[in-house]
This record gives sequence, structure tokens and C-alpha cells, in this order.
Amino acid sequence: MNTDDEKISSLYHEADKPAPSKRLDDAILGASREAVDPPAATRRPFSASWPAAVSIAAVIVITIILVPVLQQQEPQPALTQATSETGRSLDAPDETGLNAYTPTVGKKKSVDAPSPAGAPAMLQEVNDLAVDQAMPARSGASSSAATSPAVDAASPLAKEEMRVESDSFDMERSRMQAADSAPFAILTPEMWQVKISRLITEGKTDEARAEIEKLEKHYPEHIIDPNLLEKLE
Amino acid sequence: MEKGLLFKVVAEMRKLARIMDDEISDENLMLSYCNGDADAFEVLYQRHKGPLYRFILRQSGQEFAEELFQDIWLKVINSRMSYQVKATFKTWLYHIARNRIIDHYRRHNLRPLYNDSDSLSAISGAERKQPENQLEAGNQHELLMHAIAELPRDQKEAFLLKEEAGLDIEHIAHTTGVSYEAAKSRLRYAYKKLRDQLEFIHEHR
Repeated sequence: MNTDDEKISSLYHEADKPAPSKRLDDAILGASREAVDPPAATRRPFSASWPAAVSIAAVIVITIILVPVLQQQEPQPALTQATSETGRSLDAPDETGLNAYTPTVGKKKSVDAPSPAGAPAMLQEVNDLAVDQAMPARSGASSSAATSPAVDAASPLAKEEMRVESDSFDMERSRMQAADSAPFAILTPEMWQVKISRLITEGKTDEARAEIEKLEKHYPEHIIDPNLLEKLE
Repeated sequence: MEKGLLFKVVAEMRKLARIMDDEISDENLMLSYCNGDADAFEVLYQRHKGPLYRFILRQSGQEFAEELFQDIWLKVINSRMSYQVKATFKTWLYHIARNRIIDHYRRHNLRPLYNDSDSLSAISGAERKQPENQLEAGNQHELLMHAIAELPRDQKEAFLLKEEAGLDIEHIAHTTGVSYEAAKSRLRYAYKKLRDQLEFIHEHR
């Protein structure tokens, strides 16, 4: 650069030096700050966000504490209660290995397991057994009442009512005894037939015949499926 | 309240000290900004805003200067995540600016003005009609600005990169993507034309 060029250079730098407006400065610097530091509007201060955080934490803690407690306090299903009262464990395999009344919730459904349609009927029967067990006490009380002098002095209508009641208790007692004596008393006829069908399918015809005999014995009024008998023949 | 004002003053002084502190390079400031230091960008901006604005203004005119200026800085801001120190920050900044100006020319279908002795004669004629005392220093600057405006675009660009950005020939060549000799030649022609035009005006005054 010669002296003439330097003269032009100095002349150029002596001239006015226009600069960007303040508005432009603010816009660019604002954009630069927003790029690295989001505006306060998008960031909620802690004072505004802590209630939500505390609420979520409280819900989690309460859930963790209460769920095990509620699971413990949850009433046992009627089925389990009934079996405990009858003194039989339905979970334990019976003589034939049939575990017909084990609740199937969460378990793999096996061939031996009752069909969904038959389950309510079985449950009802088990509950009946539970009711039956309570009968002897009442029955004993009734019989003692029947022999008391007060009853003798009662009207004929009252006597008739007591007799009917006594008869019904006797019937229930006999049902209970039959159920206790038979290992499959708690099976419904339909379930029994399913079992027989399975035995036939497995080729255990002798066992199937024995089961049919038992079924006829316990449910004399039940009509066995003719197809089942045909298969057996 | 007074405490807050004091903190603000101290912060402004620290910024000013950073702007004045040449030991902190532009590249380090840009890297700081990439890491989230917004103040570093402000220092960079204060260092370069004037020269860059005039670099744009002399080439595009007042009408588009602010828009282009803002676009270029936004480009810098948006490039922060991919910024790497491959060249000086100034070279990178003016490279962005140059590309944006070329794009502006293309978009608006503009052609850079070329030297035209007739137009300069017209200027000198107009100046001669003004009183002598107004034709001194102030008008010399004005005449120089007119002469710069009349330079071919490549020469004008080289001249502004030299005078405004303070780049040497090597960096001018790097920024404009030409050889060292080509950059040197453009610069030499630019000064020569400016000198000739100013002499021409003085001779005809």
C-alpha cells in the first residue's frame, strides 16, 4: 500500500460511520439470548411447578403404601372360605388328581379345569356344603326343642311346621354325609361327564365305566349323555 | 433497587472490558456462545457490528442493509451448534455476509454498478455549484463514498474487506474464494480507481 492508498484509507475512515439502529441491536441480541436461554415464559419457576411435583410424589407414596395393605385386607373369595369350613382343601389334588375347584384366575387352563359355564354351579354347590355344615347345630337345637315340654304343648300347626323343618334338616344332613363320603360329591354331573369323556379319550374305558357308575349312584336322576355311552361301547 | 443497578453497571463494565480485551479471541468468544454464554455473543456483536453493517450498506444500499445485516447475524446464531474453528471468526462471518449479499443480488435481479466517468462528471459538476467552504473535508468524504459506490462489485468487496473488516490480502482471498494474486489485483485496481476519480474531480473543480 503506497502513500496515495493510505491517504484514501484515512479519508475513508474519517468519514461518517453509520451503524445499525438500536432496535436492530436489540432484536439480534434478543435472538441470540433466546437461542441459548429459552424465555422465562416457557420455563416455569419452581414456585409454580412444585405443587404438581409434590402431588405426583404423594400419589406414588400412597399407592406404594396402600396397595399391599389393601391386598392383605381384601376379603377371601367365598370358594376358599367354604372349603376351609368344610375341612377340605380344594387346592390339594384329590384321589384322581382332579383339581376341579381351584380358581383358574392367572393359571393356565387345563383339561381338568372346569369350563367357565360350570364354574358358578360348582361354586354354588360348595357354598351349599358350607351351609350344610352349619346345620347340625341348628338341627340339634331343633330336636332338643322338639322334645321339650313347651313344644308338646304347642298347637298342631306349630308342630307341623317343626316337623317339616326337622325333615328338611335331615335331608340336608344326609346330603352332607353323602358328599363327605364320596370323593367326587362336589363334582357336578356335567363335570363328571367331562372327566369320563377324557378317560374315554385316553383309552381308560374301565375307569370311565367306574366313573359312570359313581355318577349314576350320586346323581340317580341325571340322564347321562348317550353319546358318551356310545363312545364307551 | 440500588443493589440491582450496581450489579447491572458492573455487568456492563465487564462486558466492555471483554470487548476491549483483545486477548479473548473471536473464536473463543464464539465457542463460549456455543456453550451457552450469551454475553460472549454480545461481545462479538459489539466488536463486529459496525464494520459488518457498513460492509453491507456500501454494497446493498440503505434499503436492504438492515434486513441483510439481521439475516447474517441470525445465520451466525443458528450456526452455533455446527461451528468449528476452521478459519478465523472474521473470515467466517464475512464469508456468510458475502454469500448473503450475492444471494440478495440474484434474488432481486440486481447488477452491481460499474464505474462510469459520466456519472462522476455529473457529481463533480454538481459539487462545483456548491460554495467552496462546503467542498472541503466533508464533501471529500462524500465524493469518496460516491466513488466507492461506483466501483465494480469485486473491487468494492475487496476494498471494504480491507478497510472495514481489516482483512489482509490472504484473508480477502480466502473469504472471496479467489487466489491470492486475484485478490491483490482487485484491491490494487480498487485503490487506483478511487484515486483516479478523486483526482478527476479535483482537476475539474
